[in-house]
Amino acid sequence: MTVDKSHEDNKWHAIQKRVSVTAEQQQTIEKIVTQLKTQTPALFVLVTDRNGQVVHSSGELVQGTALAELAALLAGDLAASSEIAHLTGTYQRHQLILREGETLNSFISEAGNDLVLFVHTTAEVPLGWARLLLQEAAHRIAELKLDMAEPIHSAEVPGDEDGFEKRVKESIDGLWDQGKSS
Amino acid sequence: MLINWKLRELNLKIVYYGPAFSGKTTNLIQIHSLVDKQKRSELISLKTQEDRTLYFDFLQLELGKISGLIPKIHLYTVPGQALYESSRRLVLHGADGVVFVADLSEESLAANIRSWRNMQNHLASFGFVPARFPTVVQFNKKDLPKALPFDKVAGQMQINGLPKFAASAVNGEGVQDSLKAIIQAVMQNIQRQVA
Repeated sequence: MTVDKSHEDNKWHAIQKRVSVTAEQQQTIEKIVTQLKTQTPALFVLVTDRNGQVVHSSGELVQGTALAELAALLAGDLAASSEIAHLTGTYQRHQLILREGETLNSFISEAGNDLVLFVHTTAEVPLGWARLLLQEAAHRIAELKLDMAEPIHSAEVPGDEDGFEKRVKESIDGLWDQGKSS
Repeated sequence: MLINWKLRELNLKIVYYGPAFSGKTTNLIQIHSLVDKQKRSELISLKTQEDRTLYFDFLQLELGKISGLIPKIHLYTVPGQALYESSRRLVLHGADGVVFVADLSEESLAANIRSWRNMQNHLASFGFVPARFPTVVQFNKKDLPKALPFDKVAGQMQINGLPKFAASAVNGEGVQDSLKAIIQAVMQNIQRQVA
């Protein structure tokens, strides 16, 4: 294995777009999701960020690590659909994707600049009703303005003196399945 | 990057970028097989009928708690084929770090350079300074009989000052080192932002 060590003096310092969800905002999202699931009624509701990172889910359609997979696909679906709309000149804010089936329907919607809302219902729920509630919930979530939420506090990510880098290395080393890693 | 303070989660996105057939998906397949089942999702692949990446591959890793936060690492690959330019840009958007997978075979030199420049252009269009974006370069297929020396390819690509790894992803060599280096680079970047 050849490793170039010259990078060690290199200073990474790109300012990243950061979405931060405070405990209070998370509670508000949970409340909105619960109301939406009950009122619709929906089988499953999921909120992710635009990069497919799970914020909250309600319902038993998908759980555990499968939730991360679903979130990544939903974000990809919305991103592709939005891009298609841009390319064809049909993009407008608050559009949603509907997948209509004989027994089940699903909706994917933007919820502000940063989040995605996914709702799964039976076909017995009228489409217009589900759409109305979904859009209302999406607007309420959008009002949270997560992109302007609190920054990372330096106290949360300690400096080298606290062994941060060492803990990162240990945590990565702990990923590998014993006996398989090289 | 998504930080959820209630759940104490730090979600990070790392994208494997590079030309067609360089071994991006192979990296994720190897990571999937090497990581403890309890600490990863299943590997999702959106493929063409010819088994090529159509949109992206996805794999989530969950690290142990660090400073009170649980880092969740989302690994994506981009489709390498030229016609999927829009998809590549969509997948790259929101990335916190990149593993650029270059191909050491002689005939891929031009494609490596094209793809590297293409990635830098995208990063710049997102408002980043590419030279300062957390990036690791993996020179894959070192096992090929006619593989070019990776220093030569790095020179042609004008890659300086970045972590570089010679790899044979199909044999699992260099895969863990590249992943480890990019996670460390991304975490260091977060640390520097708050310092």
